[in-house]
Amino acid sequence: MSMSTLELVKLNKHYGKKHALIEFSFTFTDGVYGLLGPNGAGKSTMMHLITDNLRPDKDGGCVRWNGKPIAELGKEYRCQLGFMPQQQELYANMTAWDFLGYISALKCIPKKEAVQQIKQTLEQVELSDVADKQIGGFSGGMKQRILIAAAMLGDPALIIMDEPTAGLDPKQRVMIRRLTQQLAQDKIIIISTHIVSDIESIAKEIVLIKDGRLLTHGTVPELVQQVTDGEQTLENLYMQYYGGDHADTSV
Amino acid sequence: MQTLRYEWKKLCGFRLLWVLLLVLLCINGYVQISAANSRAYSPNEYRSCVHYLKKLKPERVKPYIEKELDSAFSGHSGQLSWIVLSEIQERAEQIEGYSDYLDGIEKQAAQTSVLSIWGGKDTFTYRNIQKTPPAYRAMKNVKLRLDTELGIEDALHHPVTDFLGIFLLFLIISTVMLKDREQGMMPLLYSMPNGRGALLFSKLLLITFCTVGTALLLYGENLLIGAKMYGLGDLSRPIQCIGSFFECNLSVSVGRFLVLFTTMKIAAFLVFSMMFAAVCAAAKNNLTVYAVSGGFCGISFLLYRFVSPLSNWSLFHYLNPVQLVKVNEIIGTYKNINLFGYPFSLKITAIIAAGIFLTASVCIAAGCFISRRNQQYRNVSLRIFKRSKHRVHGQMYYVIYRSLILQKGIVPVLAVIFAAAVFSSGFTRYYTSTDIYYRI
Repeated sequence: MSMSTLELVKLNKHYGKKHALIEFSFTFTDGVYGLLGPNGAGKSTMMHLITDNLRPDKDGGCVRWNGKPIAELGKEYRCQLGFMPQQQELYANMTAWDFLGYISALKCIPKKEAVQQIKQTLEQVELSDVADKQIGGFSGGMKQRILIAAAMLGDPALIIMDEPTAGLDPKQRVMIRRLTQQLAQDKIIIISTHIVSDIESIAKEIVLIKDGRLLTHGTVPELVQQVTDGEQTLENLYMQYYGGDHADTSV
Repeated sequence: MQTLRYEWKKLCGFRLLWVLLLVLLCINGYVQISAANSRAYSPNEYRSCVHYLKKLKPERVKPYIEKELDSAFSGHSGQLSWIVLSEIQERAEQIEGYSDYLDGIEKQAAQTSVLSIWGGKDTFTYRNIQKTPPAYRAMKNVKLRLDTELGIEDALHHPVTDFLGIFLLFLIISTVMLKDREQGMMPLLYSMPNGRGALLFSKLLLITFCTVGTALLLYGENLLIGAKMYGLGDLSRPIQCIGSFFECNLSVSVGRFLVLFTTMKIAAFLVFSMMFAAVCAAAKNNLTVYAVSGGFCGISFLLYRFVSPLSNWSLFHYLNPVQLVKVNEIIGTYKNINLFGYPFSLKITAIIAAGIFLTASVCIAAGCFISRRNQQYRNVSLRIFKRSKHRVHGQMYYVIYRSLILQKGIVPVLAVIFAAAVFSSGFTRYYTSTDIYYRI
């Protein structure tokens, strides 16, 4: 099976005077990638650039999918993209089934296929029992899982997840980790999170971002070698790079 | 059209909208019924009169009415209401003199080509008068007849209905266009293949269906009430048989006129709908949406109300969304507007203006929606005022802010104030015996 690649080529993005991303370059291939950084580091901006919700500055680089700029690919690229934003209010009066039906319509999934896929994803996120219940009555964790299910619909080759385990209990977090590992066999999965333990065991590579720049990246064993003070863990590495910072969170 | 189906489901989830729809239908019906009952005669009296007179031969109607009125004025009460009869007498005379009316148009045009008081042949007035006779030539063979007309007149002459319709449409459109953004769903929807142009198309299509539904519901209700109270009469008779449309130059029946009226009313509502959609797509937050939409409607109304149709600025009166809603004026009479000294049919210019407004609004909505603008809510900040960054307000402030701004409570409040202002300007109170009481 051919491998997909997502290239970020010298990405620059300004919001007024604030420089959210500075000359950010990285290439993602099949597997799970963790994106670590404090609030305001540029993670959300990068995610929005990858999902084509934002455009880079003029002459501010580009995002390429399999060698072609996503701005040119347009719909073709978005068909292969699954995005799980940080928990949103969702449509309280819609049932879980209807919400996923809506998402499948927006993802151009034919009706018959959509029924199968919705059933399958609901089983995978353990929400089959509440498929006909309104989302307004769901707990935070259930809403999170419905968003994950929405991202998985259409079997996308690239899945972007923003804080996928926020609000989930440990059992559910383990479930999501296992699910992510299963999906990652032939996909690119990028997870932005503050919970180091969620990506430590499943990420092929972790990218650390600070003040809009790529700080460092590597596998977990490579990164923990960089810890100079204390036990060689990813958390200590995080504290080493970000521990004394009070990042500006306003964007 | 799966996306359209889900957009409809999302709209249906906004339960307050359905409650409001019911309330507005009740208000519309109540206003129409009260207006009918405020006449000096009851609907039953009117129906009885018309029903009786219709049975008479046309040449016997006028003498019968004259006889009844003479009898009423000399103190003998007849079987029919004399107030109704005197109104019908005026109508009967008007109907009888229709061919004289048409001849009068021709004569006036002929006279103006002779008289020089119009300031010459190079003026709008002269050209307008010369253009009028050909517009009425098709009416030469039209034969008018007496029949019930108040049902149709009441149904089609209600500014309340227009106001309620536009208000309801604003609520629907702000829900369809803004709900996704309010709930932070735009980044998710936007990242999907059908989350841009296709999604906007579904929303605009839903808005179109809702506009058609709103117009049909409100005016359908008006027609039902009119039919119940006064009857609609023979729908195959010429539209000129209805008093308000006596000057209409369209050779159509009442039934066809109703279809034409409804179509143009839907088009006018659609202009407002698409303009609201454009504002919602372009604006960054709720306040801007209310301010711009309200400002737009207010300015349009003021221009329509205060710019004279005879002035040099008459274009602002005629090429105005409020004018488009006044379908009675557009198709119910013969009017030309002054464009650089030349008369142009109001009907045609209204259609062109509606087309331009619609196209511009859809383009603006599409441009703003598809160009990934305004995915997030942005606060309004008036930097002209210096104020401290961190302030804590009282509970009342937060209650008012939440209910009026965030939950759109300002919309019904402003609408009620606007309606009260409009209706109070035409308010009359009947003179009663207590008005002549003097204290000694």
